[in-house]
Amino acid sequence: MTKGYICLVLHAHLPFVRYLKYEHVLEENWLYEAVSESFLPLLRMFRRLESDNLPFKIVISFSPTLCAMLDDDLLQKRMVLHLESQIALGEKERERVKDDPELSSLVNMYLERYTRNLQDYTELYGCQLNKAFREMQKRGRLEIITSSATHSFLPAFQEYPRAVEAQIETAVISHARTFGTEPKGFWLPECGFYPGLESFLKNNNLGYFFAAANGILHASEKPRYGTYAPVRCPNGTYAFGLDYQTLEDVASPEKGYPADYTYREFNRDIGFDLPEEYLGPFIYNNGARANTGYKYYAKGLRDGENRVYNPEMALRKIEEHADNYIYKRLKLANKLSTQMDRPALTVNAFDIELFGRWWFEGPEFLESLIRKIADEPELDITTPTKYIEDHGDCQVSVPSFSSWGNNGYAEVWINSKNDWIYRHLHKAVDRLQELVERYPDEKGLKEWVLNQAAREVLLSQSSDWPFIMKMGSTVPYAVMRVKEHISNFTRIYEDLCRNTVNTEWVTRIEKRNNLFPDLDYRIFRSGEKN
Amino acid sequence: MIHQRLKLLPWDALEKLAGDEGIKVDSGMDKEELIELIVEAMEEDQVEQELTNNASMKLKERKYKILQDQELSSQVAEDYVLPEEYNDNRIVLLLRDPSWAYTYWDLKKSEQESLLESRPAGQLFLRVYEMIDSCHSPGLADFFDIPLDVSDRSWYVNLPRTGMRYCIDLMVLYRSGEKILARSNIACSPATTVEYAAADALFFDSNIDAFERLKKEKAIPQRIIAVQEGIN
Repeated sequence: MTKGYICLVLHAHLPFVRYLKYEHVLEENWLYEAVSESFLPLLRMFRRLESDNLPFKIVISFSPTLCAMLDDDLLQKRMVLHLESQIALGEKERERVKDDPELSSLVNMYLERYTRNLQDYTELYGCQLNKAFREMQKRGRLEIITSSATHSFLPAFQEYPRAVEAQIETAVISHARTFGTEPKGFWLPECGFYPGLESFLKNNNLGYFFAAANGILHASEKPRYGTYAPVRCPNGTYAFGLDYQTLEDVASPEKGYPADYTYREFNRDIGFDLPEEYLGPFIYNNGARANTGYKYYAKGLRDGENRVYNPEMALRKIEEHADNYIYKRLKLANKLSTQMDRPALTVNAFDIELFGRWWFEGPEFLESLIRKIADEPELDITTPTKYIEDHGDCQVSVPSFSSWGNNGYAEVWINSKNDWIYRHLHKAVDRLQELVERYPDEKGLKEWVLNQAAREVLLSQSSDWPFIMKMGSTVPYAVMRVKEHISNFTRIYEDLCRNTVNTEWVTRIEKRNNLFPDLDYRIFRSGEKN
Repeated sequence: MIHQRLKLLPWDALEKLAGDEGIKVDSGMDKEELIELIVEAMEEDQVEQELTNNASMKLKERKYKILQDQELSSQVAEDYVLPEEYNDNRIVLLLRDPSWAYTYWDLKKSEQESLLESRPAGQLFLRVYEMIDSCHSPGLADFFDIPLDVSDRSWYVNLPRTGMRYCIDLMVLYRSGEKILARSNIACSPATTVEYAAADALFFDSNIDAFERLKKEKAIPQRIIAVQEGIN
């Protein structure tokens, strides 16, 4: 008999990065590393489970910006180049370390992995990863949901309801085009929620969302079951609270499973250890070094220590950690079964790149977990849709203002390092609404220009830019992106005020920022819809 | 590695980096001294991040960290210049957490000129209202004032109580009386405590006590230095 449900949620997002002029752009590595280290290994893991007929269903939220990049021809070609360059470097490495049996064995492991990546990406999936995930959903193994159009931290736009509506509506349209189905649920970027946001989700037929634990625990009505059952907003939208403890167990770099000394160290990459002249394309014009994917050492090394990573030992540790995870969930489920009228639900939500990219053995951990849960009669994997079907009579309550950021609110996205952006982001929304009122039914050239204006405004609102400004890595890039999109929009706004448009320039920026082909600028039309 | 890369930068780029880190560059300072200060400040930032970031934020931070040291280029954003302010009277209130809200405002050029002309009599200030209900009824609300300099454009406001609604008027005090220049939206600060009895075992299992502990360990306002400096 099932005493506890586990809902596994993987959130997949990257900001839109696409350069036409340069083939070798550092920030595009965000995409290449995610594909090479996480998406392809995870798809292989799903296929292994499928071929063994294991019952599983995982929720994956794909942000529309990531989907746009995965679908983009130019980036697909560059992805192939990246995978090929990883193989070429591996061949060089094989020669370099041929006298060291331990390192040779690791080089062979990586070479096999990256060769398989290239084969999977080009031959098995035809470079179409969205399609690969879509097929997996069709076969009932995934429930794919969406996130806001450009992953905007929505509480910062609470006073700009058309911006919030545009972010959500654009995402739903984009999702339907990419995956062929309407999304049933929504990943709020950064789990950023404020009371009232649920009405925008309802307007777009989104039945559920995920909220930070503190948002549920401080909900309008004290939640009877804590975070172990969702709450239902008065408008019928369900809010599922994230489980704080599993996040610490699985994701914490210091205290979680990935911190174990048996696992592979992410930061010791030959891209930072070997001479520049050896690394070729992994060195950038300004001398910056980047990850190559070749990492030979285990975690927890002191300065100067070189303890070579042992994959067999790591896989044994994976089994131990999966057992520990199951033990903890079972213990909790048994305890709560005496206090609840339904099996306790724990929602385990993680950034998808935890598995593979940062925690090298993460996909194997997930696989082991799913196999063990299949053998455990008291635990079951579920999805929000299935849970609502089975236990839809949930307590009525509205989560409070919250996020999954530090201390549970907005301090990561609103602080002295990034707060300057909101003056410009909000003004751009005001001005775009003004343009929509002025040009309510344009066709042809003006409509095309206005659609690009809307695209630039959406791109400026990504939560990644203030996050990067706060965290301190690649800050100039984030600053540049906000300024670029606001400047592009402002130039269109001013040109339209003067009734002169430089079509050559608009064509140029449209070619670069080419996502959301169906975008209609009227989505920003003022008017009470909620 | 970062030390070596800093050495390659010209003096004005180092000065800009120092400014970004809040370092005052003295006239007698040499390049090596300045580099040491910048490296030290960057390391302090890194330690602060380590201490304040939760598990989700640490993972998210890694997502974007494609370099092992900080990006030093400060040139790329200079192609795009945004205005310092807009010619409009408006004030916007953004809730940061239950205790702090960020507010920014713009003032029309004409308003700024008349303020400057009327000085010292014209004093710009924020009036922060604690609302009794959702309707904006300043007469019914408690309020406090924050004096401003005419050059101020934003402020972090400490909200006295959680679970309340707040609104801010941007005002000016003339000899003849007060004048409202702009009124903000209303922001609702969430409650931060849950009334739970010892029998509410599910709450303890949901780690609410861990949340409360976390908040105490990592005191909330971590970046309000500029505001503190701005208080007269």
